[in-house]
Amino acid sequence: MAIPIVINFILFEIAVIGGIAGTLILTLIIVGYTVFEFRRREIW
Amino acid sequence: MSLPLANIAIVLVLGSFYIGVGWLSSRRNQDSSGFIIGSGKLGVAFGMTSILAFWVTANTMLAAPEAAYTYGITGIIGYALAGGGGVVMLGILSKRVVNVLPDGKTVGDFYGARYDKKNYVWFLGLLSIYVLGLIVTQGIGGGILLEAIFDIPYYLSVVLTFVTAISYSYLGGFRSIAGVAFFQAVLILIVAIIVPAIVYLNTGLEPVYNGVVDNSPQNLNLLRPSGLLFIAATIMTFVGEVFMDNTFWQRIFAIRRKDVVKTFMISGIGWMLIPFAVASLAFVAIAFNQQPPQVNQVAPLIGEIYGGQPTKWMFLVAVWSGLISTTAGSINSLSSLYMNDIIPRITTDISDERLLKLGKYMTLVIGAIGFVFSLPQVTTLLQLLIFLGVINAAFLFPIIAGLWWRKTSSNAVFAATVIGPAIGYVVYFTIGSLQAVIVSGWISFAITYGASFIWSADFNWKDLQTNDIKFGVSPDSEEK
Repeated sequence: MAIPIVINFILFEIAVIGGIAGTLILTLIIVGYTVFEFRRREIW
Repeated sequence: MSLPLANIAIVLVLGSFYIGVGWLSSRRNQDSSGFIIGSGKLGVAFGMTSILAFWVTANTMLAAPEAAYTYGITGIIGYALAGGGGVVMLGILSKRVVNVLPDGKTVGDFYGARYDKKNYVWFLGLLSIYVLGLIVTQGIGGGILLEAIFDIPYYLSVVLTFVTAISYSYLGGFRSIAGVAFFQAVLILIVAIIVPAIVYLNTGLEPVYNGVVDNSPQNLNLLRPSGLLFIAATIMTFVGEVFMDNTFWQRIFAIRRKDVVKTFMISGIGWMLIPFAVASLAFVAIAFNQQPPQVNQVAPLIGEIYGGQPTKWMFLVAVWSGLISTTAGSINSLSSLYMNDIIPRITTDISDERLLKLGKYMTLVIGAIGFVFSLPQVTTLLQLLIFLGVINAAFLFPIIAGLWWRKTSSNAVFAATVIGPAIGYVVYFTIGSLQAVIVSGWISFAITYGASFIWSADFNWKDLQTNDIKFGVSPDSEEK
């Protein structure tokens, strides 16, 4: 039987906070491109 | 039984806003090509939001927490790798797709030209079943969510979901969908940031971690056997889904050529992070022994308990928006497929105006079918996704092989996509659902490459660019 690898609290923190922060960065990228492409009339 | 009139009003206002934006976006659409891929020049921003709004939905906001509740940390990892990884992989291939199919609009343009008639008919049939199934998962998800959180009766919830999605999909096709998707994606992302943050600010991260360790430590085990099986099956399912689904191929052709790869790559990598934020809410439920009435309601339940009323409303708005987006996107992708691939093969003498009208008519029919099958709440979202995944997995390798390897033969692919799912469903009902997906995918792989190696074809890539495409008729290709 395989020995379990249980993630410690630090990894758990990284996973959750990383997910939230990463989603925030993604949102900012979208906003940035929206402004940039809107000014260049390249939205669609 | 009294209806929650204020809650219904909120849903109606949001739905009306989306229909309004869809109508505004549709004013620029005057032809069938616009109904299928818009202008073909979407930028990165609208390209990303159209991908994310479709792909981040009930299947992420509800089924991902369900996976975490069932399989723990491996459920989150599997979901992230599968959903985001699929988009990244298709992004890598997208450059090849637009090179070999510069005038393409749908996945049918590739499959119909690359393989013969029997493959094409089989592919369209199974793709139709898959997309309708996907629409039904959204309908059920919408009904469950609005009933669980807003006390809106299930059947009324399903009606509101489909009326909104069908309306703006009908008005302007892909143009409307891309326009509305921008607002939906931004809303979804904002909620995916705010709701987990509010919940964890109230509960703290350490108490959640300690609670899971005390109550259910196997949920933190990276080598959990059932979780590893889930990872393998989910990757096969979702990647196959991404490769097979015309919704993603539409976006390949709808986005400006120079931005396609970048758009898909950023969307895919970003998508991987969202399940870590949202699905981890299931750990709060495990840590504090909060058992949802149904497992796919775990995330909204936690949002309501630890974030209060505003959080509840935010979650609802975001998830319902994603449901609408996926439902509308799927309806449009299927009607676009029929407009672009089937109708021109039945009659060559059809005006563009009539083709557009037929496309709108099919939008209504497909939406109605999805609506009818959503009314009986027969299963959970995740179960239905995995059931359909047996089909998705079987087409993954035929599509990859067909894009890169000229020796891939039509007979090998047909055998792979028939035998793979057939054996897969036998395994599904005798051994297990996740095992069925893996078996289907790898059998398809073995037959596609093995049989093509032995009885290889010699496909001429220029045949993919032939405007006068006929079923499997290509004077320069021959089966050896």
